[in-house]
Amino acid sequence: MRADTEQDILKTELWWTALVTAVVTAIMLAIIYAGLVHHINPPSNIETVDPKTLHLTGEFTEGNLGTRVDGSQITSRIVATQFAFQPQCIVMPANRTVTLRFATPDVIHGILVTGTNVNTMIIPGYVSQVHTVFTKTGDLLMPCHEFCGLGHSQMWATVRVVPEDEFKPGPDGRVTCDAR
Amino acid sequence: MALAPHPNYSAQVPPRVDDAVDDVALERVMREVPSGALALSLLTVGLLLLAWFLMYAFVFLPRGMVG
Ligand SMILES: [Cu+2]
Repeated sequence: MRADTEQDILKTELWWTALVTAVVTAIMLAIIYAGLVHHINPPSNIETVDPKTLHLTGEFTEGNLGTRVDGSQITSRIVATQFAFQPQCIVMPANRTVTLRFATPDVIHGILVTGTNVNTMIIPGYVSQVHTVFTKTGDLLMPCHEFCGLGHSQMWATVRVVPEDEFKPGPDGRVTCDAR
Repeated sequence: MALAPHPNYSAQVPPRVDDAVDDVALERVMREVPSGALALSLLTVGLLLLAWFLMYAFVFLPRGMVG
C-alpha cells in the first residue's frame, strides 16, 4: 500500500470500499438465511385495535386475557399498561408453536422474553403479535423494554414454560399460573 | 493599567532550533502511514465482524423461530 500519488490513495480507497461491501453483503446474507431457513423474522403483524375501548369490548377484556387453547392454537393475550402487565404471569408449553398477542391502552411499551428471540414493541392502536417455540422450560422474565414513565423499571411479567405433558388446559381451554 | 510583559518572558521562549527530521526521512514515514492505518482498520473491523458472527451463530440461531 502506497500513498505517493492520488492514484495510490484512490486505489486504497476502492480496495477498502470493496471490503466493506463484502462485509455488509455477508451480514445481509446471514440475516436472509436466518429468515428463510430458521424462520427468525421480525414480528410484522399490522392489525389495529381501539385503545379507548380495549378493556371494555373484544379480545382484550379482562376475562379473555392469559393463555387459551383453541383447537391446536395456543394463544396468550396480554395487556401492557403503565406500569404492569395483565396478567402478571402466563403459562406456555415447551416445544409447541405458540402465539403471543399484546395491546396497550396508554403509551408505547415493548417486551422481550429473556433467553429467546421474542422481542416486539407494543404501540397504542395496534396489536403486536409474535409466534415462537419455547424450547427451555422454567420461568422466563418478560420486562418492558421501552421507557414508558416513572414506573418503567417495575414493569415486568413472567412467562412460565412448562413441559408439554404438564400443560393441561381447563374445561374452558384456559391455563393460568395460579392453577398450577 | 496596561499589562506589561513579565520581565523574564523572553527568557522563557526556547531558542529556535531546526527540526531534526529531514525531507527524505519524512517521505519514507509518510509512505508507511497508509499500511499502518490499513492494518489497524482490518484488525478492528475483523474483530467486530468476528464478534457479530459469534453472537449470530451461538446466540441468535439457537434461540430459534420467531416471527
Ligand atoms: Cu412499559
